[in-house]
Amino acid sequence: MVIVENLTKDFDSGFSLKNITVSIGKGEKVSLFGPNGAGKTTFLRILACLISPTSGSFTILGHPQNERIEILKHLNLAPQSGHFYETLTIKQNLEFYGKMYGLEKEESEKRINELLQKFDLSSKIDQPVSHLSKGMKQRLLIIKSLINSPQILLLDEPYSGLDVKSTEILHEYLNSFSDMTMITATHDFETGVHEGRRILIFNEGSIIFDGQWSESPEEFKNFYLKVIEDDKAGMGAGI
Amino acid sequence: MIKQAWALAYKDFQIESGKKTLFKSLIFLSVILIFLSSFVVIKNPEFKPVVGSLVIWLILVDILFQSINRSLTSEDESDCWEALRLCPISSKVIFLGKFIYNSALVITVEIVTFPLYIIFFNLGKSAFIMLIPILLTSFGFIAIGLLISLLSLRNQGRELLTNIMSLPLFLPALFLGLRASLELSVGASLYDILDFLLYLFCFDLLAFAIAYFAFDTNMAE
Repeated sequence: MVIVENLTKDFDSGFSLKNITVSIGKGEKVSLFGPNGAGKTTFLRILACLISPTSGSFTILGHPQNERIEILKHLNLAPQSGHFYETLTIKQNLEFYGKMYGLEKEESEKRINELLQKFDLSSKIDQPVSHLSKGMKQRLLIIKSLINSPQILLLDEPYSGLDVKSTEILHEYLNSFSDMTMITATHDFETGVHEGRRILIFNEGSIIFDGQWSESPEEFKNFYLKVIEDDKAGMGAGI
Repeated sequence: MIKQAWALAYKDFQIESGKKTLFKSLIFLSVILIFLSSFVVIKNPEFKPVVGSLVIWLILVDILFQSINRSLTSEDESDCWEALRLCPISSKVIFLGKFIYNSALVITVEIVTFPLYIIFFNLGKSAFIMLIPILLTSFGFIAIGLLISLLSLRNQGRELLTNIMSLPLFLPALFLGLRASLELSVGASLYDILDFLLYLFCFDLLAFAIAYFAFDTNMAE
């Protein structure tokens, strides 16, 4: 479903992604961990065709990276913030994005109502986005990213800045999409470490761990910190 | 493609109709310019054709620069530029949507201010034909302005940069349009300025074609 080969991204600032090779299957739930600046967001943004890699290639659902429009019909990204016109209402924003994703009016309305209900925002439909709380905006970002019923969803720290309750609710909502491939960049061990969930640890632009974790999130945290330390010390973690 | 371009233009109208900041500032400046310059004409009626033409073109240049500058930067400032680039649409849709919105904004401001211009300068209804060179000049500028605005989107001082870079490209059309409206204001007919209009039309076509084909959002990556 997602095949990445020798992906490298160099920025003028010197920060880079180095030779990333990874393959992600249909319906897989992947958590990307790593310190700030490790390359998680860059990796997601490359997959979402927002930035081009310096070298290497990727294929999504059989479409090579230059078939941007075809890829974006089946993939979406929920960033940490932004993406909404603050003076427009939730309905106006979502209707606009529905049109941009090529949905017919009835189909778009149905989809918007369904998602707003699922994410408990129906009562706010006519409120300007500027009036929403951080948690609501976060949920709205997820709704926007689901509007085209993507097969692959990329989430960039969906729980950042949320309180415990909002995190739990959002986590529950996201888990209900069992068929969807989800790649989530996160710092949250509670939501990011689960049985059956694949974990990739990024450090300084490289993947230093790729596997699953069956023990507690607390133990994973210790493992994660050790892996990062070892990688910095040049010992490597062993993928 | 056209449907999505309309959706983009309509969204810009929804935002502008909520805030009305750009529209109000354009109308305000236009009215002030017309009002003040009409005093000059009262004292010196022989300057009426020159001052009249100049004022209407000053208003146009102001509308064009302000609206073009805001057009793409407003998307960027609200972090929605990235959201647009995430939609499965070609860059051309964004160009067309912005072109439709800016053209409609120029037409709307002209419709509101032109009657005032006619009243303050004591012109006849025939002065409305002056709108033809004005609009013809605008369409070409909007196309070129959008392309330049995209190129300068990631730069500091992008608004100034857009103005400086678009002006040389816009000057030939501006001179043609100004000359055509001067001729009209001293009594020439539409037939007399047909050559000017034809050149302006060619400028529009060329500007639109270049901007349409060159507009690629990857330029602002």
